[in-house]
Amino acid sequence: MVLLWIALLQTTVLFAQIPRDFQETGDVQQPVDFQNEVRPILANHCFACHGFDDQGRQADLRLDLESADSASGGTDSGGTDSGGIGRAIVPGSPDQSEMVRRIHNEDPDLLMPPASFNKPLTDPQKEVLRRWIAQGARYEKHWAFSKLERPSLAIPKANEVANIESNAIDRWVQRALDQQSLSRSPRASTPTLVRRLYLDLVGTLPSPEEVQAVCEDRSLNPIDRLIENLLASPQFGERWGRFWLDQARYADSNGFSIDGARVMWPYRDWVIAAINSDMPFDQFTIEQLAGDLLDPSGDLSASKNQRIASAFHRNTMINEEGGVKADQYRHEAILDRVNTTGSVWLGLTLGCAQCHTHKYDPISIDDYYRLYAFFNACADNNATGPTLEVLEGEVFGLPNSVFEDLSQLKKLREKLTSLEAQQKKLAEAQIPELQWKQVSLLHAVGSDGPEFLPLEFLGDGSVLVPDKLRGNSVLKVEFIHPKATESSEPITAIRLRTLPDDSLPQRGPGTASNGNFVLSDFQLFSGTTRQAFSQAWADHSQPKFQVAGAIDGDPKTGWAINTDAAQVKANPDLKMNAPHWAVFALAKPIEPGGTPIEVLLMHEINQGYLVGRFALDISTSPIPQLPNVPAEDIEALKAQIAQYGSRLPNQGKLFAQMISKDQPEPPSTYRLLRGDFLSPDKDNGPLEPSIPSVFRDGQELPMHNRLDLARWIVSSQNPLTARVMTNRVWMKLFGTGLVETENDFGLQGAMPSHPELLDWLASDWVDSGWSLKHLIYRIVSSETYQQSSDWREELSQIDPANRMLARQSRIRLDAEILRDRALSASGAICLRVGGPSVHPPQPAGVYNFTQTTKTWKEDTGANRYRKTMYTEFFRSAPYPLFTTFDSPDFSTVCTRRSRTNTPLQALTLANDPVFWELAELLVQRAKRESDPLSVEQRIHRMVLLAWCRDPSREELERLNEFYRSAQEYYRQNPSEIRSTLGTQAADPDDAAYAQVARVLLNTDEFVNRD
Amino acid sequence: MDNMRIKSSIDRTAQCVMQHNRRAILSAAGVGLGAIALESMMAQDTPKPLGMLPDFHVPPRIKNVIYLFMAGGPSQLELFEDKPVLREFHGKLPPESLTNGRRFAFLPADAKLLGSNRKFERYGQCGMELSSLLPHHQKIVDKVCWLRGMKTDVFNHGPAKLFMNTGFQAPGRPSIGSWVTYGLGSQSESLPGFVVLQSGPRGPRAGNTLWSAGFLPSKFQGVPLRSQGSPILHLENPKGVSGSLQQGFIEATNDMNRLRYAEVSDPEIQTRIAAYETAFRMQTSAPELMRVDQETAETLELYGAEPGKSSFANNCLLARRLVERGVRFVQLYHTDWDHHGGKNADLDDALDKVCLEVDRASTALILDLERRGLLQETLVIWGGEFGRTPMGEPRETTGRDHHVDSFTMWIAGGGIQAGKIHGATDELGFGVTEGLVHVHDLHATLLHLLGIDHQRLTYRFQGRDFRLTDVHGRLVDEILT
Repeated sequence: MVLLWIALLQTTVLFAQIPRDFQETGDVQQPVDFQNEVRPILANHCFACHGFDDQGRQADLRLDLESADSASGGTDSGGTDSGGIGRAIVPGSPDQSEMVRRIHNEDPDLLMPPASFNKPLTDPQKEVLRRWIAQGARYEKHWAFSKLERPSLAIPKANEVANIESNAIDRWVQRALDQQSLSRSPRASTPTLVRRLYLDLVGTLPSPEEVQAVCEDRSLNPIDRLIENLLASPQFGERWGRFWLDQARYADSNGFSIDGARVMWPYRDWVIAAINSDMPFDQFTIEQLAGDLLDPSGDLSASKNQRIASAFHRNTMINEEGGVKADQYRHEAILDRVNTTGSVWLGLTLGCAQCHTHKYDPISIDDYYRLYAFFNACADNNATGPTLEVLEGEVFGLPNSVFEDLSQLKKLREKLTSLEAQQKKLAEAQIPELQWKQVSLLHAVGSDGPEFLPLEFLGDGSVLVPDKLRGNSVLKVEFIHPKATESSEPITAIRLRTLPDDSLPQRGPGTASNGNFVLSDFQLFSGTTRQAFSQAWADHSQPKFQVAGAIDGDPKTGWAINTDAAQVKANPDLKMNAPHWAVFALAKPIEPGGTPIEVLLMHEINQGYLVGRFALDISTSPIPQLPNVPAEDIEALKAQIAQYGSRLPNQGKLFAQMISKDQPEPPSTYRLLRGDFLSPDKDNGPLEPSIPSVFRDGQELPMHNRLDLARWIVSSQNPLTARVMTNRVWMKLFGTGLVETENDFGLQGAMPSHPELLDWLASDWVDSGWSLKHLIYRIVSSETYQQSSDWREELSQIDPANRMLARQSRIRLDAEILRDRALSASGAICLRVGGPSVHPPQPAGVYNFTQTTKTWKEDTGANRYRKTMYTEFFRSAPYPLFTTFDSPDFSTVCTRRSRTNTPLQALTLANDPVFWELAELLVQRAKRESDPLSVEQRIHRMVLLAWCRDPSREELERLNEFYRSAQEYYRQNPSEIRSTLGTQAADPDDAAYAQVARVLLNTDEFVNRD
Repeated sequence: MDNMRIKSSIDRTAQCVMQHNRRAILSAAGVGLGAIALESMMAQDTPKPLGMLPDFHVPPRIKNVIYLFMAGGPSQLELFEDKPVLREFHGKLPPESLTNGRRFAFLPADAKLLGSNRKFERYGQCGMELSSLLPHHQKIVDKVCWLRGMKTDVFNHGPAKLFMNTGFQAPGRPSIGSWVTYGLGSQSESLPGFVVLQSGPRGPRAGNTLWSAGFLPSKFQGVPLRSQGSPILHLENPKGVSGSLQQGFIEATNDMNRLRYAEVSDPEIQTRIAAYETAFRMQTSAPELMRVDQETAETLELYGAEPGKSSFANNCLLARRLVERGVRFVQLYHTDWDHHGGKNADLDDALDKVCLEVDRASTALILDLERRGLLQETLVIWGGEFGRTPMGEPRETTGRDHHVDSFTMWIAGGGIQAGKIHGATDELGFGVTEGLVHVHDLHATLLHLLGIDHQRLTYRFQGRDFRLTDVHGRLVDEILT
């Protein structure tokens, strides 16, 4: 059906809004309406060649302007004498106007528009042009570019009510209906209305009791009170925040092929908070477009939220693929910023002017690149850009104590970092130059079980481990550091030299079959006092068997000497079966004093990996001491950090939110030829930032930065923003905007169905101080909004698209709201507001078709049932429900979602375990709230929970019938009973109820907002 | 759901409402499937598109498209183009006149020319050059049209794949398959009109955006057929729900919808009823589609397909089964052809491996379609998002960088000259010297074969009439019969 409408609108765009039959208005006297009738024809059929664009202009003829043009003005385009071509438009004289001759011409070479343009005029259109010329060919400014003024409310109407403005909407709608002799639909039933307001304002369902309370409320305005309550609900900011996030092209990932995750949710929190606090839309705009520039002093506390707001334009994509050129994707991001600003605030298709002057709207290519210049100052450059550290919940406001704790925590973390760095530095320090003297060993033995066997002394003062010693033998040697003489000084270090020997496997120096050893610990005793080592070095250590492992007291780590390919590549001479050495620095030098010194070589790792032959040297050279870091200090610090962390949200984890920032010296901006960023048009000099010429009446209006742009956007000088946003809010509440082309308020866009109403609402909104809640209240409290959405036979012929608003529209729920509705019907919903994105169950295999697999850790607690807007959004592979139910991938701005109705949607709702789980929870809730009741009463309760209304007799009977058949099936096949809830016993009744709940969640009524 | 069927479904229920009480509406539930099937059979006989286009712009030559997308960019210089001069100047710097103004993704400034070490021969009547990497392709040289003058605009994988699929290098535009199903609809009643299959070590870069419907309604997006688990997401009934129970569920749901329709008369409810009926049919037909084991041993052998395995060969066979069942647009992605010369990405073993995975099945698809008479109503496209540079890229091994200015693709099927070699490149393979086919031109030609004028299939979005070929595109009629 959506398709049908699109096809219809494309061919009859002129007539769809104004159901007036042109065929019958051949009367020349019938006054012609330039805005509604003439301009659309000129814009669609003529401006492409005879419009604003001076590059593409044909025959030097311009039809978009009245004054100083060659069409109806004094000068002629081709001259009446040259080739017999007359003036295109001679006001008052259609028969003398070349235009009239041309549009009726039978000669295909002369016919306008030319056949090749593929946009022929219809007879009624030709007639309109003729009448317009006959009546003087007067031009008017395009309605959306004219200054916004509050239209007078002086519309006579019977049954005046006290508050004349509250039903202003209804008056204009009624006037248009009266002209067509149509009547409004009756008010929707109270349950339908309550449900509609809940879905539209907070995106969840009311409980049956809440519906009942409103139905039974006999006070004057129960619906008004409900509206006020809903507008005050924290969920309002979520529902309407999501509406805004579409326009912000919010996503949790970078896009393109790698599509890595990004931190953007604090900005989402900001949007929710701003809408909940009803931040005036002008401020809302300025903070998002230029919040970073509001605070040049950089005072954090004053404007941190404003800087977070400036993330609006960091929602652009980042290409992380290898080999990308940052300049290209910086340019792409800037284009997106210009186009998004144009779509969101101006309702203009600026992107058309990126390569050439706009064919239809008065936007030149220079206008485009003047806007580009605002954003060309940006400091971010594809994958790099400024960020701001944010605590979870900070955007909503946290108590001061949190920040005190945080600053303590930061200090502790810094201290820990510096200690750890010190520790690392110690480990990596280069060995100092030392003088060595070999010691004469007095004893040398190795343990063999409880026994000790002697080692063999060799001539060079080294010792050799005999064959009999293997296993985990401990080698023990002893020497004496002589008494103090002139020459003896304190020992500062000891060196272990491991030596090859012919008696060892592969010549050693170890006893393992390949000649390796693992020295798990190296210990030194002076007398009976164990002396600590502060550091160790070796000429070579096997990867993962560093020499530091020999002095760390851990028997599971140790020093070994095998080599790997990388080491040999770095040093081709390196061999395992060669002499090696390790140096151990004493933490405290040993004074000379004749005490015996004992050295132990432990081999607790592997069997038979002993040092096979070795010698010892001592040094008395001073070793520059690096400050030692006691392990206990680090542990204590970590404990303290954990303690502070537990008092802070998310353990005090800081999230780096991307924000906007300008470079101090922005680069010059040039017009880019054909939009190619490698072809700046330097010949014509740089372009200064400014707004399009049409909005400054061609005057120079130099502007400085984004702040100037933002301030102009929300100034009364800009005729568009208030209209565009009012229309979009209307669209959200009626399914279609008063201006159907919600993203094109330019000359090719549709005309408003109710122009005064749009201008009145927009002015009223601005006058209210840009209060979104005020605007929404105005709309939803109108009779027009509160009508029934049921189709009416007579309307489906006259006004199938419901442009006249003789009824409300049925609107298929957005993906998020659909699941939220199921969550709230089942009672499982968790209403916590804000925070990082969550991960409800997702079918396996979603990333089979993407380049990189994303992490998706399914949530189990309350986060499993959070509102769907918090589901982490990966642009390259969105959560499947989103794609199936028409969420865009947010590569670019989305001002309106399409609403389709497909078999894949049916499969999702019917078979997705997410919905199956919620169907079961719905049964549990009904059971909780209505036990013990009959089957009919139970089903009735389930209907109330899902639909918020009583079922009809037929509905109840049919559901009951299905219940019986499902129950029968499960009684006969009890083994088929499956529950996703895990805890439930196999109960055929519960299983059958769950099938009924599944039906309820799949009905058209559930999927739509009536 | 095509419009005609929706409309008639509406009419049917409207009649029900008028003629019977509500109870009667419910009892009419059973008529749905048969009536729709009959209607669609009739629709197939009338030469009208089933999508939004009221009529074909030109007589259609084909009904379906199978696009074998060689993700990563196959090296035309190792497969399709013998360049003796390149070999002669191997190891030399390329002439500056040829590299000036070109941007490359990874190449250093001093990258040297790289002659291929592959052996080439000429085959068939057309005398197409093929290297020894593609022995099976020798059988189809005279059945396909060789496009040796392909050119694209962008040199990173993600953007280039998007460009090849949507005519634009950033995400957000509709893919070819979406445009085609939007314009022409699908002939399949029980399968999606646009299906995507994947093989190789990983998914293609840019993921879902390659078969996105962009700004078109999402019903036109490509539906990935998964090789493991159920082929379509949520195709299987929830655990513990039998076929008969599921049928009862669908009937109960649709009866509730019919009762609702009697109340509010919104035609969208009729569309939803039809959608549930189609979904139910899909639940049976999609698993049947995947039954590659129903094929004869000879056919399996032809493709090199093995039932139960996930492979390019199996996907080629599935592609044939899909078009047999009326699916309009089938796209296969096979990764990974990105041979830069990194670890396991060289122009020797790694290229051998991917050719082995692809050569036989690609050939088999053409032969099999031909013998079944399907080739004349199908267009088969084979190629990557770009080609590879004449210069070598020195990494751990040898490879080539991305090259946008010239590469080779082949196409075959209805309306295409078989055994035609179209286009040529210079002696070093830097640029196209004749028969240039830009990506936009390929798109225009593809649409033309389907009966669509690429300038007239448009969609109004953000105030502009968008089309697949943007403001470009030329029909390559030199290759048409």
